[in-house]
Amino acid sequence: MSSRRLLLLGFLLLLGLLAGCSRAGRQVAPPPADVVLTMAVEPDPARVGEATLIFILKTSDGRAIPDAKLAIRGDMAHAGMQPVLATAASGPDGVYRVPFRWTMAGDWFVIVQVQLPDGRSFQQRFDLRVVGS
Amino acid sequence: MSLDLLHVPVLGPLLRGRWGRLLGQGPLLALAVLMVYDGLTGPPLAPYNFATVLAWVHYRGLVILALVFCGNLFCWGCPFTLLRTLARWFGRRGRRWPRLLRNKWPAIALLVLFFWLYEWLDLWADPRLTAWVVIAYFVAAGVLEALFAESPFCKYLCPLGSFNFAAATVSPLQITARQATVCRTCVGKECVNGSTTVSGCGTELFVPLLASNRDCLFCLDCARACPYDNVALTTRSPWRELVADAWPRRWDVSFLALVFAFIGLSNAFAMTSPIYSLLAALAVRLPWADEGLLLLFVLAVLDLVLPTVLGLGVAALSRHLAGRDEPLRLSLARFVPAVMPLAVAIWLAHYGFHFATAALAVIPLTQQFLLDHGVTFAGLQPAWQLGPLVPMAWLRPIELAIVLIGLLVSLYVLGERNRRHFGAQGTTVMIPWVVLLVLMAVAAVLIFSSPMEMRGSALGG
Repeated sequence: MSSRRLLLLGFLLLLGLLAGCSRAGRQVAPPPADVVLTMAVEPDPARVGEATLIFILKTSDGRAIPDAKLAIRGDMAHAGMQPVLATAASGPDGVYRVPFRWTMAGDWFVIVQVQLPDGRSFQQRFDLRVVGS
Repeated sequence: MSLDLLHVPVLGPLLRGRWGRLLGQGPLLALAVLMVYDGLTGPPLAPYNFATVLAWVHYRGLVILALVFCGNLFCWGCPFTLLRTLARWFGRRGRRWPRLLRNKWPAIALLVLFFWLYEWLDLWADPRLTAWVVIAYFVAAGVLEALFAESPFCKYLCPLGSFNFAAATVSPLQITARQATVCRTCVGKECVNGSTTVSGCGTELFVPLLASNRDCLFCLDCARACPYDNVALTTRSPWRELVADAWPRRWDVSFLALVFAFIGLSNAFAMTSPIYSLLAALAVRLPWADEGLLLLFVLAVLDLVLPTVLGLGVAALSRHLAGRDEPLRLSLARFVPAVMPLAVAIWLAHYGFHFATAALAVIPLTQQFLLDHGVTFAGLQPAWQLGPLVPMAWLRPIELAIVLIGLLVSLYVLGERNRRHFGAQGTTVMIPWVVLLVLMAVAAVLIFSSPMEMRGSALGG
């Protein structure tokens, strides 16, 4: 086989490997089995403009988890829209209310990075649709 | 007084040099590889991935800015055409592209198909699919370049190329011959035929006859091949070729201009709330509720039926007012170049918006990419707050100003073409075209003033 054909074969193999692989660089911890995080929005359904995100953090047997740290990032599904960033430092009874602003109608995803009081951390994603004001 | 960039010290020799095109192709190839790599292996969310951010924010924004303020730089730097060289390297000498397809109809069909797929598959929200689009481009360009002698992919098929060719008609740079007399006595016509060391024009343009940027890749192979150093890359007024009769009076050329303009409107319309109401209303009235078919129906109407009906309508009316007994093809071709400034303005307002809102997002994206690969020198916390180039409040007035400028230039071109063909007495002949241009501008203003809505998929699908 000529060197040119080997080059082509190598390129195609590399492409196949890339297609089958997923980069291992960004390790995202899923929610622990003993923790439940839920999200609600006000107003509901979500509308363009000022809003409140309400996160409820509990153990799997229903006990509230206060004093966790939540870093929130809202992104549109479209590439290139500026994300909306927010944080919540503590929440009585495991309820964390975060002022937020939906900047445009469309599909959003909210990614919450949670640091539990016991030091564990995890990340969870919520998808939702925001309607026009 | 025009400036010849090919004879500017340093820049000219750099561009004309044997490897001059690699100045553009090299970096763009590297970016294409990065997009494929990140698209296939990186985060699946569009804002976190180079494939989607670079393709749908930066490429689109920079390509239209380059076309308006410089020229067809992205065809010049197109990495897909590197496979042309590779195909030649593999020793293939292809056949001629079929005569039946040597026109712009395949390009029009693929342009409409591309924008339908873009909306239907939500390419802008899908890094993996975007990466496959890049791969598909490389494969399609490579295969066609290997199978056929000329560059059919660029000239007849490539949707990006069709877009660039259309918008380049308002670009301020153009390839010309420095001295016509030199070309008249030239025997080899190396600019189009090529020489022993350099290919001739891939799209088979002959420099001394060039009056338009249509089909010009800006590759500068003509300048490299010319043994007399008689090829220039000169500045010009952006409306020069539109005012002159520089376009062939062909149906396909005229329709490409109209379709380019109307896709500009439909593509912007597709990111506003009203399109979802329209799709939902159609879903209950039409016998099919499939999202892809509904979008195909809507875009076929907006991108094909509407420009056909309106284009032929105003051409027929204009012909009637002129009292001329001539083929409708000629009536259409007479004024259709006047649509281009407004069409380009609509694209500039749309793609410029996305670029202005998110150009700086590439900084935190790069930081995150490096962190993902264990490189920390760019910081441990990506600056995700970076994004807009200008305050968001400025964008809508800027969009509207761009559309207004586009309309005014279109009206100027229309008036000049009317004067050229009918003299000062024939102003009524262009009235149907004035109405069409104003209606298109009003549609653009309404679209850009509508509330934006960008879903990952229409109809909640």
